[in-house]
Amino acid sequence: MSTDPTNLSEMDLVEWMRAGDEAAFGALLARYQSKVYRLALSMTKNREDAEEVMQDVFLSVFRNIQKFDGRSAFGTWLYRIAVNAALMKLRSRGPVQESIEEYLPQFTQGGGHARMIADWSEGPERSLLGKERAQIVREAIEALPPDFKTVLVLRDLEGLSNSEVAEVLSTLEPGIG
Amino acid sequence: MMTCQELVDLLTDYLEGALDPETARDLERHLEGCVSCHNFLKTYKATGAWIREVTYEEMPEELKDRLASFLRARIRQEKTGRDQE
Repeated sequence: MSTDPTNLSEMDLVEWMRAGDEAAFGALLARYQSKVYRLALSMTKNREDAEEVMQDVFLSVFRNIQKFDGRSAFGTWLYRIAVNAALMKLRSRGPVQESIEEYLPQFTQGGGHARMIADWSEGPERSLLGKERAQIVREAIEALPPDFKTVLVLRDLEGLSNSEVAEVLSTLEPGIG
Repeated sequence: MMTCQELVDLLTDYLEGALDPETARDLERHLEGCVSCHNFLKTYKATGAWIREVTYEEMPEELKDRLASFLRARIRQEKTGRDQE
């Protein structure tokens, strides 16, 4: 095959890879590695763990490409493998904080907001994107239970829709998530 | 009349256009009369971009090189193992 694989569509790359073409695997790796890195780093908050997750993910893609049946997009299948690998890495660290209540809005018995909600989308607070505030956000994400963290990373960082997130999460390994 | 709690529960579906029209209208009516929910929506819409900005980190080039080397070595190893079987 003499065509430059970087110009091929995703499905063509998958087909080439299935046929044993390593350049196609290289092209898929180049196309997705930054996304998988962001996901792995956001989930693990640790560069060494993120690197190990990436190794597991792309080795798994190489070994299991014949099992990819094309019913979902390749990216969805890849995210599923990546989320699994990141959750297994988190699990290997031992128990995690499982309370999310303090981050959720509070309501009265009648279903109203328990306190007035301020608009934080603009104004002086918006410019407080300093290191200290960024660190607080990172720590808050780090403290989330793994399944909430997964949804936040897929939805808010990677921009997947609710249905795409559901598709990724629907077939995770038993006991994960 | 929709409550604040119900609105918060339905918000992501609303933003994705996944609500049926009647529920979406209920939600919008509630938004018009509730400052807290209006502020919650504005803050929620800004949060995704804000989190992306705070957590964004480019994949280091040396990590790309290490990953490619690792995969090349493992694939070669596995192919050699298969050939010898």
